[in-house]
Amino acid sequence: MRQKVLLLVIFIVVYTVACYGDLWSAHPKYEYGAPVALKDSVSEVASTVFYKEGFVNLHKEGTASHVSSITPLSDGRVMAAWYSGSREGAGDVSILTSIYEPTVGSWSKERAVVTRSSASKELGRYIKKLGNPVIFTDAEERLWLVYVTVSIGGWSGSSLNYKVSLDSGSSWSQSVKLVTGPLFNVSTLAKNKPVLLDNGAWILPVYHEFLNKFPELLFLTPFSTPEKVGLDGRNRRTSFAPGVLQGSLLVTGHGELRAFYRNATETDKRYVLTSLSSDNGKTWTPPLETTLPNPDSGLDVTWAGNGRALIVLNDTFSNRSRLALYSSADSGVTWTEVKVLEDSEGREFSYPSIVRTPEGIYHVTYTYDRQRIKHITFSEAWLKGQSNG
Amino acid sequence: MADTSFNSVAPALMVLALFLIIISRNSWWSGLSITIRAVVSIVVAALTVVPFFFGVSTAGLLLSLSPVFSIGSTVLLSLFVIKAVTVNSAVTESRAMAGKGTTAALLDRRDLLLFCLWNSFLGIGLYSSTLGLLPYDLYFLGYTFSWVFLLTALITLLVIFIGSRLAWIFLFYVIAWNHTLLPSPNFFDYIIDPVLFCISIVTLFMYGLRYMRGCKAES
Repeated sequence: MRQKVLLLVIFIVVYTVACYGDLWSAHPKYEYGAPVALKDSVSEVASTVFYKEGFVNLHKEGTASHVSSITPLSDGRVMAAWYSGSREGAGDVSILTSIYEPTVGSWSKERAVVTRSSASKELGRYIKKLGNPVIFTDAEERLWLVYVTVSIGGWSGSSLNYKVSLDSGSSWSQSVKLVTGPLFNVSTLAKNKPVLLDNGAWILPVYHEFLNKFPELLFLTPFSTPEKVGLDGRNRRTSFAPGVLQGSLLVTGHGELRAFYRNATETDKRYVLTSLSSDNGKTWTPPLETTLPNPDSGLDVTWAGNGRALIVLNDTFSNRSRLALYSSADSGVTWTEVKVLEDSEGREFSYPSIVRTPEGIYHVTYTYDRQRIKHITFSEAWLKGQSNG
Repeated sequence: MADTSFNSVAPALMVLALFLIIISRNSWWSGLSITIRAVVSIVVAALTVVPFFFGVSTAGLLLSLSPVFSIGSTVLLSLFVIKAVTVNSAVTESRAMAGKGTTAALLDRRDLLLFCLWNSFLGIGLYSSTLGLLPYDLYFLGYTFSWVFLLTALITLLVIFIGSRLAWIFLFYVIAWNHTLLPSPNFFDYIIDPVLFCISIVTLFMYGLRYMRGCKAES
């Protein structure tokens, strides 16, 4: 009997050591890919001067639209996603998409990609409300939609889910929930687009809102099996400073990233916060104030080629009635105003999203008075003209 | 990612445990044979994965609250259910009256206390870090091999040498993570979840209370 027990103990010890040894070899340290900067190329179209304004969706009485995200598609078109319903957080809110055809200069009829009931059915979970969508296209021309759902409580109870489209948004996969935190998986939200890494992964800037507001990064690695295509997500906190959220990432060099944050700190005069990483997003400097005002509202930044960057933000201390475009010639260190996009007291213009297409065309979308999503597009030539003039 | 249907096991066990707690108060239940009790339990567990509320099952509703229930929860609930189905209530009551642990056949009092202590310490550290109360991102260490894995490996070896059955639970953590039984790439989600943390805290509190009462009675 004693011998049997001893044998059992030896077996368990050997098995334990073998299991952990297997883990060690099967799960090596996470390799941080280097951020890939957008190409500086400028197409013929981008060489002509143009600046156009329009709306992505139609105005409907009693319908609120908010938080848009925009991404170039592989065929030169541009897709926008946003959420719309009777009010923010209402049960009838759905996530809509629309495609911009540059040759015609118009947006397609909006299409509901996620509704509360479809999300509930696909995820097999109770869904109370839908929130921020973020769309992006990967190197293999797959279109990803990451969106927020809440099962219990307010926005601080949010978690992230994704869908993928292999045909530029004509059809979408079932929704899949991302597990990004250990405490009921709550309080991970996204607002801005991710940055592509040279290993095929993405860094999606996300943030935490429950008890404390702080920024995080979600390292998303696409995977594909014969049955499905999916995302593997690893969440990492980038700052322990409170009141820092909704980061927007700018690739400033090889392995170098600069993040710009919405400032939700308890101060009278808030400025956009920034922090730097020179090791592919692994470690970050503490957030510091820039010279750009911020009334605790969302912003977005994009690379503009040759060391330049563009940012769209509410450049006031108190409200969201003014929205402006700024440019930087030194990778986001200093900024100069390019154009005031909106300025109307008592109204709201917020949550901008900006992208630069591979052709050198810029697209900006933002919430227009909480009713519609406005779209502005301009060329590289127009931008140069503004800088020179 | 592997198939994650295993993730519905813990919610099913949770509903079943609740059912068994309620039904075991009826005297006719203890009069049933173990086979019948097992069959009824299997039916109840199976019903939890049937969609009924806007296409969402009872297991789905519980998973809406917490998308992952740890291996620790699954094991603890399994032990409770096995005991409730198989153990004769008269025997259990006599054991309880004799001051012996009610889960004696599967996890004795010492193991249960050690398990609850481990869950409580880990939970306090992990959730404080997650909520930003600690300036350290503990959860990130669970994605790849880190000192957290070495710690659990050492604890596994330790519990083996003290002859504790907890060794099986600790081994199950690592096997489950290696086979991606849960829809999470993070090792911490295999070890602990908020429900297990709460159960562990309450269990320790109850033990503490009972211990203090015992001390008072002795003095």
